[in-house]
Amino acid sequence: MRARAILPELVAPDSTAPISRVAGREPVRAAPAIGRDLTRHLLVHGHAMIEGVWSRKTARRLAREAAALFAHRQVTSGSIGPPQQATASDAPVLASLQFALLPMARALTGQLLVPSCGWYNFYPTDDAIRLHTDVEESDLVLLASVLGEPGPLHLHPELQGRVQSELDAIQNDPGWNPAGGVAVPYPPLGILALRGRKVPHHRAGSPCSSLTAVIALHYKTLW
Amino acid sequence: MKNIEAEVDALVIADGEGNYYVLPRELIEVSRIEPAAKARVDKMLKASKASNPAGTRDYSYLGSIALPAEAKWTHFTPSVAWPNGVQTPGRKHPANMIMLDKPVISASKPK
Repeated sequence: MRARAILPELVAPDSTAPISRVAGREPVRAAPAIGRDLTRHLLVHGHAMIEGVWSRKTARRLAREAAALFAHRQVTSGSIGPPQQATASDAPVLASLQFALLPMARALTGQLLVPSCGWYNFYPTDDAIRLHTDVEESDLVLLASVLGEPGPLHLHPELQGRVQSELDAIQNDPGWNPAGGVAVPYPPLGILALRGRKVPHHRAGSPCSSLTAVIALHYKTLW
Repeated sequence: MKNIEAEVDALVIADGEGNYYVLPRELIEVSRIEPAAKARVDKMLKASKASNPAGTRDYSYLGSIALPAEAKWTHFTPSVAWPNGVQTPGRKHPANMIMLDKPVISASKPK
């Protein structure tokens, strides 16, 4: 299910501003054109795609911020392997976008959501993701590609209700098909909305020709 | 509509058993029907057997609420938790990942 929605141009806050200042400015107010077909698709299938949510200019700002965070990353001793992450608390443009998309998230779900986690997920060499469900602090996640060309996410609605250990066992089984599931690409300049805590998902992975980054903006019900 | 947008974040309804339902303003906005359809809805409302105030099989409107600005920050967290939010430092994920309870990457300090 694809639809178009227009987000007013993101007014990027001062990149050196502390996060509290970013919050105070509330730079963007999203005016999503969310139709009932879209909300129904999310309800029934656990995901929905919305193209053209932001401009190319905003996309460039996100790409710049992602690249800068990756270039200056400080990897904690002992951390290994993908995905490496930077959080919205370190990324004013990303945080701004997360709050700007709040009305859209509420309109899509009909729930009184508020932002919880916000990340850049970096894939320097390979874009694989293990089969998993999302964090407890997520009733909805909005995903988008901001650097490189990550492959589609493979959704597994047939595996709803499985705990992580079961998902691990499924993926470790010799009969596991890495190409299985519903393959959903990241919409151009837009978002893939996903009930990621309910719908398990994975990506088999392929080599990245350049640094690849995906944003994951999580929302949780207020009460 | 602009005044409503400025003052209301959600509507609250209740069912006959006392359960509350909080409907965000954005949901109300996408649920607005065309003016031409109002007569049809009026007709259905008249024919409805649902009672008002709410009986056990109906909903009643309790009012609207405005959230304090800080409510948006209630669940905002700088944590990295990948995947599945397990906050066990050092637990190794099968995908060659270490789950940490603090950010793996930090931005450079602003100059």
